[in-house]
Amino acid sequence: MEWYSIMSLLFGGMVLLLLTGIPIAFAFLIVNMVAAYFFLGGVPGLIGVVTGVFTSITTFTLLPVPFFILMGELIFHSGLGLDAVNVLDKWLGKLRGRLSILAIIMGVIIGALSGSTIATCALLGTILLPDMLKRGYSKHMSLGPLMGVGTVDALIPPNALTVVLASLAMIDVGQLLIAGILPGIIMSGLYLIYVVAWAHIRPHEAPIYDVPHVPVKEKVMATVQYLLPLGFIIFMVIGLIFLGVATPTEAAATGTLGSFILALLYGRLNWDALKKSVVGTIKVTTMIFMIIIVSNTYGEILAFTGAASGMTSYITSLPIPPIAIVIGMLIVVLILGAFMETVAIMMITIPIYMAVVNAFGLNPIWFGVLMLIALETGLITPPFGVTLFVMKGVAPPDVTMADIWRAIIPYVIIDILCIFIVLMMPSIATVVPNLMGMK
Amino acid sequence: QALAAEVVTLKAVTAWPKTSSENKAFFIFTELVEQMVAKKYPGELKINYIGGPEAVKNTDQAQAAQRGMVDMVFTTNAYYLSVLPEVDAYKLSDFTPAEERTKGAYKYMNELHEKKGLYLLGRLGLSEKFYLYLKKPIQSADLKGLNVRVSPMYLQIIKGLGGNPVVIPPTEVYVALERNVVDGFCWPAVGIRDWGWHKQVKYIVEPGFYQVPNPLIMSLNTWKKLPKKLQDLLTEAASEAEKKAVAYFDQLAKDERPILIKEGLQVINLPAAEQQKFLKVGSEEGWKDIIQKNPQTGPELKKLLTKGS
Amino acid sequence: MKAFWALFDKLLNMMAALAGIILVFIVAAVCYTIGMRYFFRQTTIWIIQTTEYALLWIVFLATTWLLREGGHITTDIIYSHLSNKARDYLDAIMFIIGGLACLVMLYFGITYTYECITSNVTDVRAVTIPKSAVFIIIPIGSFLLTIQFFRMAWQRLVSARKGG
Ligand code: NA
Ligand code: NA
Repeated sequence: MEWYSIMSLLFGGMVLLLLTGIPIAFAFLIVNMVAAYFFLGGVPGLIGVVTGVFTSITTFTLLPVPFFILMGELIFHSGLGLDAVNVLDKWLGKLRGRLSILAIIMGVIIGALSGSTIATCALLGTILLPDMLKRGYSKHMSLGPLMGVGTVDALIPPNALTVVLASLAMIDVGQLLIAGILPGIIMSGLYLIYVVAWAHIRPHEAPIYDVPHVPVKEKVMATVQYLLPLGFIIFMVIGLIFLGVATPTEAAATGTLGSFILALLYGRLNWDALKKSVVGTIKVTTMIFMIIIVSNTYGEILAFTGAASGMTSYITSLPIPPIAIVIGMLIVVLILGAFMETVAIMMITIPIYMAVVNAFGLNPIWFGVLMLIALETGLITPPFGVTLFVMKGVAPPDVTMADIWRAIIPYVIIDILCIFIVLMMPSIATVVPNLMGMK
Repeated sequence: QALAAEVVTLKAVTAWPKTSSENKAFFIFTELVEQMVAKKYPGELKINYIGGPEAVKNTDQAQAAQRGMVDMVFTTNAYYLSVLPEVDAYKLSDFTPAEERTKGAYKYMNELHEKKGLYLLGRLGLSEKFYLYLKKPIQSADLKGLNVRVSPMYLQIIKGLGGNPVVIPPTEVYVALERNVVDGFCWPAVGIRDWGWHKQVKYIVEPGFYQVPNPLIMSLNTWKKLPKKLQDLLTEAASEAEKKAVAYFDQLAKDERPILIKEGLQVINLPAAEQQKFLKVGSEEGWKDIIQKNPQTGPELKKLLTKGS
Repeated sequence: MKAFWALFDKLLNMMAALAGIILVFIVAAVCYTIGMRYFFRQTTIWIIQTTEYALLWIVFLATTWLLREGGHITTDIIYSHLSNKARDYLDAIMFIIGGLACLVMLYFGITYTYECITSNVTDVRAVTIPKSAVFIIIPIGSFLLTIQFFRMAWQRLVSARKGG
């Protein structure tokens, strides 16, 4: 069968099932079983689907997901998150859209430095979303930044994804890690500009609520009492990575421990809060992991049947100028991003892509940065995308999938804009490594 | 003109992504097969390379071959120990693949494979060795106080030498080295530049130890269904590829060392007595582990794979 | 029958609670291993492996409970425009198909576990353990998922008949 027939069968079947309202994880499961039977050689394929469950989930790299969710739940249920937001209110009383701005800044710090897009989204969603909605923020102004900012993380080191990409593409890891920083800053800057602009165009979406005048002394006291302690949690994640105590994955556990200790010290850790936090974490983790398990198999079927590489080779062999090929290659990554796991996408595309990049004599670091942005954008592109599902999982029930799709679109557009900026001005990717005397 | 024979297509997967250096050995094999088929039985056999771990997860590949989902797998012993624990013994072999064929080790190992529904076509094992790469220098075969990133493959030797084994995925080794979570790691002679780790370590410790086995296996069912002439062709190609792979990776390892030194790494040549101790601990701990896990077959494997004292 | 479902629900709750306990345990375990390594230069190699297995167990201990609670996310584009009765029928059909998929997972889960036991399949990481000991949670979870799907399908059929 040709790649496009397999692709459309798998994709069509998936969309059809999703429309029936069956949970996404089970829609994937059904498609996988049927496809495995027909494309992976009958019964052996079906056994492979079941045994693959074990292999895909028992991996250390997924550990930050439950840990970050638990961290977020603890901060939220202990009331520490609300206290911190209140303090910020006292300082930034009149700044429009400040919670969205806060979301982006927190996302860049925590997400970027610890490196798990999914986990960052889950953490921010749990801590900030309830407060944002309570203060009358629109879904657009609350959901959007919380999901969008996660995609900055691959651009700012440390990041496991970058290391994998560099090793697959046989380009310098250190250079690629550094090269992402400037584009990452530009991307988060664009997010901030967007949020501030939107808050001014449509003020009712990010209402300024009345904050009584507070004397400076009280502000400082409140900061010391409620804001600095959160710094302790951030230290427990990022600080411990930098001090060489923990790896980025492990640091999620120490961060959770930090939020536990803090809640305990503030006397906010009663049985009820602990129970709610754990139950909430189990819910979201199970939901996310089920989707990761099944989409993993789905991606393997695409790889095994040759559908994914068929599409990739087709695009790269089109008789069009190099720059158009590069754009085509990035579009393929965006499309595959809708239903495949990031590392799998790299394994399929990179061998073909790097051949093209080298043949055209393009700068591999520049191309690597473009790939990173495209891969991350794939995580938030509707309709599928793990980050979107994660947000649906942590959001209150009245947030529909359609709300999430609408909210994410501006951030997808900004990401694509970033791709174009780097595409047109390669020096954005290469200037920092060059300045640091690399190469 | 003879009647056109039926075309046999073998679905193959490898444990590594397509372009990785390990796969080179497999492509040496497939090229040989192609040439031989073209010469002897044009159009009768084709190897269809499906892909790496993105198509079938590397720890599930041998099982996929057992069930016939794929016909051929090029992998490393670590990825199918769960099915065939004995294959781990290959890392301790004192011989080249060709020597193993003449000494009967191949035959014995294949019998073990056949019992599990697999057929051992050959061992495209790089006669390349593992090395210990460190941030801090050592003077003796004593790793006390050092945190060393390990895989199950060389866990025993690091423990035996007194080091602290640390388990972290390869993707995090770079950061772990940079931030001193670990003081070093083990890896083959070639490949650390792919991950950029050469920027984060200062020393390569001689002696190298063990070797990288990388068996090429098939589904036993598929093998049995092949006509004798194609079986012979594959066997011939495999043993030819074994020699070529050994030579190729030997050269690669030789070329690699000057590059690493140019990148600023220093070679620590342990004193002769310490080198001996290093290797002795490695071999003893390794065989202890193998024999403990395979009490019936372990001693026989040791006899077949070691030069003996 | 009522007593059976009460018992079934209780079982699901207990399994979800166990998932919660495992979660807290692995947080503690990872912190412990980090602390031991940093302060005492001692490493415990089995901990990471245990946390990896724990991820699988958490999912399959809690998934049926989550299905009952309606916690697995769905897309609701067309669905929300249907009449109650049509919704019930559609749900019933889809739940039966979902149940069948879980039944397939159960069947192959059992045969694979059996294969693991009879041919001594192990899982080799820092420590080698029998694979069946960890894998077994997949058929257990699939079994409960299957029952819960068929139960929900039945509930929808009853509701559709009442509604019509
Ligand atoms: Na990062
Ligand atoms: Na997506």
